[in-house]
Amino acid sequence: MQIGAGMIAALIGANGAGKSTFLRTISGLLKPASGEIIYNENNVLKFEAHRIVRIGIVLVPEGRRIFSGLTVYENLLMGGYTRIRDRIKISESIEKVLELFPVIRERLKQKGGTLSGGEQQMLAIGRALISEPTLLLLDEPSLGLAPIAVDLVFDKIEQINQNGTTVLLVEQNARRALEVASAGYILRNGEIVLHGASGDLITNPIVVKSYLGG
Amino acid sequence: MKTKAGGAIAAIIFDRGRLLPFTLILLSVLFPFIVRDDYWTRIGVLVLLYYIVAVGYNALLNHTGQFDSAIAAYFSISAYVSALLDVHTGWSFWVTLPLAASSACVIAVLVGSVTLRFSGDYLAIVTLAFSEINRLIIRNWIGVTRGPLGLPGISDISFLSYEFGLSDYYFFCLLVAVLAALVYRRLAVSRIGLGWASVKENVIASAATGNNVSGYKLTSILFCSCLVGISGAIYPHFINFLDPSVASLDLFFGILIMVILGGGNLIGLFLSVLIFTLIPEVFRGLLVYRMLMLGCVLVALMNIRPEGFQYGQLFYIKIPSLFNRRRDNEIETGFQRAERIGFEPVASIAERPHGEVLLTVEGLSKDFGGLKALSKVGLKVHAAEIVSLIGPNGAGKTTLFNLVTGLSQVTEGSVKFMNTEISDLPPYKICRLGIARTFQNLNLMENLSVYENVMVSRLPRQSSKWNGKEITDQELCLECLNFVGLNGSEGVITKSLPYGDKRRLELARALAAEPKLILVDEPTAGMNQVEVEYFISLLKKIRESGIGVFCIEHNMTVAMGISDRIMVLDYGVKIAEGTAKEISENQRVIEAYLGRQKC
Amino acid sequence: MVLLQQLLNGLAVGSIYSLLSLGFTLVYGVLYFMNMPHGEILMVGTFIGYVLYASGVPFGFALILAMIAAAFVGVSVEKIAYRRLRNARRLAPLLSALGVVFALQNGAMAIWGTEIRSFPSPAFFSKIFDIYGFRIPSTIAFILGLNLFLMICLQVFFKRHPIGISIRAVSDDIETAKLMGINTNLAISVTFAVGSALAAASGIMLAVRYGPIHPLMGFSLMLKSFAICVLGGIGNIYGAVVGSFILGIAEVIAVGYISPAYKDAIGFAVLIVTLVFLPTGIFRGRTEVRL
Repeated sequence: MQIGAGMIAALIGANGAGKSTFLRTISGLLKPASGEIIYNENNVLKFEAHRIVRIGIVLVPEGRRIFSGLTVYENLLMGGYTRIRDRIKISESIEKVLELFPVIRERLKQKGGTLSGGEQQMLAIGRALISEPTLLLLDEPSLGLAPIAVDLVFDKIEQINQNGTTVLLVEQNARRALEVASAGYILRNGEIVLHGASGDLITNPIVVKSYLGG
Repeated sequence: MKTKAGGAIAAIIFDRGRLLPFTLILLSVLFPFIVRDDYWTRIGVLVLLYYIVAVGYNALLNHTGQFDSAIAAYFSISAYVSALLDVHTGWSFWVTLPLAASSACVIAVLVGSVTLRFSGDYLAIVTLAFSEINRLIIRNWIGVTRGPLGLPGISDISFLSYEFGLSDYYFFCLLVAVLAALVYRRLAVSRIGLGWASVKENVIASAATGNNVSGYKLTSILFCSCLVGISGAIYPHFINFLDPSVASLDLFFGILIMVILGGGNLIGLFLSVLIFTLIPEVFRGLLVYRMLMLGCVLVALMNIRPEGFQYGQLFYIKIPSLFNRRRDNEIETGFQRAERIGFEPVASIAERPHGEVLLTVEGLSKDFGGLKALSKVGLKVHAAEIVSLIGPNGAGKTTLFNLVTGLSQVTEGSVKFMNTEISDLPPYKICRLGIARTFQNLNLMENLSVYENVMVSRLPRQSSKWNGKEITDQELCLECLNFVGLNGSEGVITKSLPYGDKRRLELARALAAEPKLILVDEPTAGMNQVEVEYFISLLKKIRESGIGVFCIEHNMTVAMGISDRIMVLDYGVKIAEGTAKEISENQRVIEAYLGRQKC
Repeated sequence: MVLLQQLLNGLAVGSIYSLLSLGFTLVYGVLYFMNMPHGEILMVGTFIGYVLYASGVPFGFALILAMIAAAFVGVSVEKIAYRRLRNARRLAPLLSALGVVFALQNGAMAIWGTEIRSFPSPAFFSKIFDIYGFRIPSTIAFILGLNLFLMICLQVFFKRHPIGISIRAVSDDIETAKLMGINTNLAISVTFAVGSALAAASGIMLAVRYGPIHPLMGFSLMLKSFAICVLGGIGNIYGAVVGSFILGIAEVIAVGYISPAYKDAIGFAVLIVTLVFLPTGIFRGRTEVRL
């Protein structure tokens, strides 16, 4: 797979196809059997997970994974762990994220575990943005969200991208993903079986039948 | 460091043939006559006494996986009971032996049962604490034990007024040691042995297939403490003296290293007992340096080669020769084999009347300390139907399964299986009533053979009827493996199975429990198209035989294709229920799950 | 009056125990693992403090250096004995831990011998404060003061300092913590360092007032901190503190009114009673699956 700077790429496929595994491997949580991961001309295959974050690749994991015992503010703070020394920058970043997701602002002092599912999802995405990543990996961000929230999430993704962040989006909701992305990859049983411009893929009859629900 | 020559030698030494054990026993019998030296014969008796303890502890630690640290305490309890009875009552050793050994057993079972509901860490530390208290009591209860002064003048064992001499002790201990080894060997290949191994390998799977794991833990503690007690009862008579050093943690630590190094097989055990009893004799240095070295050895052992002298697989149960086709070079999947020989799955496994309500769930809720995983869910599953549960990730589907099968505790609501309330029952009782399950992340016993994995389901049951005639457990297991297409793989070690085969193995294991209802958790995840279709055909056959199938499924094609009814869960709430057609047209479901076009 | 005096004693002992069991529960919270050599690390720290103080280093410096040395030992133990076994079968790290217990105990005996020593009492500890008729020995005042100070430091560390917050994140969800750019190995090492330093401090405080030191002293203390953590709810910080005071006061009362010989048996009794009647502890620690 090749992702150019500034684009939104979508990786879609059925459950169990390996999408999450792919993202987790790029993030350094899993080690691949073979191959290379080249980022800005460096091979980052052997990097440990926390180092991957430091070079600007941040993953928002599947399933909301926020720290339920920490407050919302502390969650956001941890998102900026890599530049925690720079207090001013962190405050600025947190402020920007709170503008993007205002619903979290009221809950700053609450423990993460007391938020609703949708709010947790917002917090998870917002937390990832604190470190101002150059490449943002999103694992099923719309899963479990109410339709209005889904609209909001995809709007935000476009906004984030327009601000300069490259995005790799993994989604079961293939239609929305391909609408917002410029390029798409179809993953099946651990292999890329189809890829191209998202506009082409949306109209590709095979893709339509298998993934877009007709 | 595995060379071909090394492997060959190891294979000869540890092979399960008869030659080596016979040779060892013969050598042991001849040993006193060969050395003709009291000093070395005394060492021999000590080796044998340690070996008896080691066989017992091996059953508990290596076989059942229970880390009990109070072995020295049990040994000392038996030793002191034996010594005190001898000194104060003068009863014959043959009377005090069972009394002493059983006191060790009773204490061991009591201490063990306190920690049964906790994880293994608790057993380890609680038994350490007990060991300390025992040591303190023995040292300080001067009135009874005479503390550090010890009990002198303990008489020799006598048999019909004949007092034991050194060589009598030797041969008596040799006899006991050989008997202990034989009894363990017999137990190891029996149902109890497999039950013990199932507790070590995967205690959740063992419980979920109907096994009373607490019972297995306690029988293992009982067997271990029995042997420890016997050895402990003999010891004070052998040295005619007893002092609190038998209760020291150093003794336990020595036994621990011997057993770990021994790797779970009786010959390796003997070798390590020999090594560790002889080392102090050869290197007569300070105790502290020896113990320091042993401590470092243990840390190194755990980090480098935790299996010790174990060589090859430790399979306990022999696969019946009926289907004994081992394929060592290439593993053909069961499915490929099934296709090649054109077999047909067995028609019926259980006879249930159609339409009977099996599972009734009402108002089921589950809280995880503030997070509501399930809210007032209600549903019914009938015999001979396939019901699918779908919903986004995190909707609560696996939580529901865990509540039904007893792996998680219900916060509110009721779960009834054929009119019996099961929400307060432990998992093994629920399974015995007739519910079996497979797991989303596979809960197999990776180090056991395929056959043994299925056999675990049969441990709590008697043989049954099938197709109207009597069938043994072995035949039932083989037929279940046959049914899912794994015949030919019975002797394969589970961890080397391809992924699709592992999924079907879990299904075979669930079927072997003779369930009326099967819960299948994401069975087709990670399978290719061909495997998925085969699995679907298996589920349909199961339905035909009258078993109810309750299925969590992400693959919409599968779910829509096989289900009689579909239920949709979202954020812990059931939002829809109906046929496949109804669900696919339900607006709320579409929004929540299937994805919606941007307007 | 005597009862209140005893109570004060109990508070002092309790506060020492709370530092000790905090170290134990911190490691459990982060790794779900019971660090069996915890008592041995206390012992090593105490001995190093003893050696330093006996050779002329001022008491305060000896205390601080001992804490640093203990931290170093704790971090090394984690690196050598546990790190590779993080994903292994449950038994392996437990057995490795037991190996460390023996190695440290016997290593200490090899270096310092097996005789019992007394920690010499610093001169300024012979004063006794008289407040409203209470006679408060300066050792107790020192112990209570030091404990309070360390508790406050811990609070600040875990609530404000980034590494402290990251440790809480790691104990919440170690994988997601990695995704935040948190170096989880560092966080775990710091946890061990903090726990070990606290252990050394408790050991020295015990030695100053309460008893002789010898290489086997750590073992029963570790068992006590386990009992305290089970009582308070394993993994729960407040539980560890509350449980410590309960045990401290119970011990002092038992020694005063029953018999000094079985002081250690109180902890064991507490353990058994808790396991049988209140298995999740006072503050509901991490619950187990009931099979």
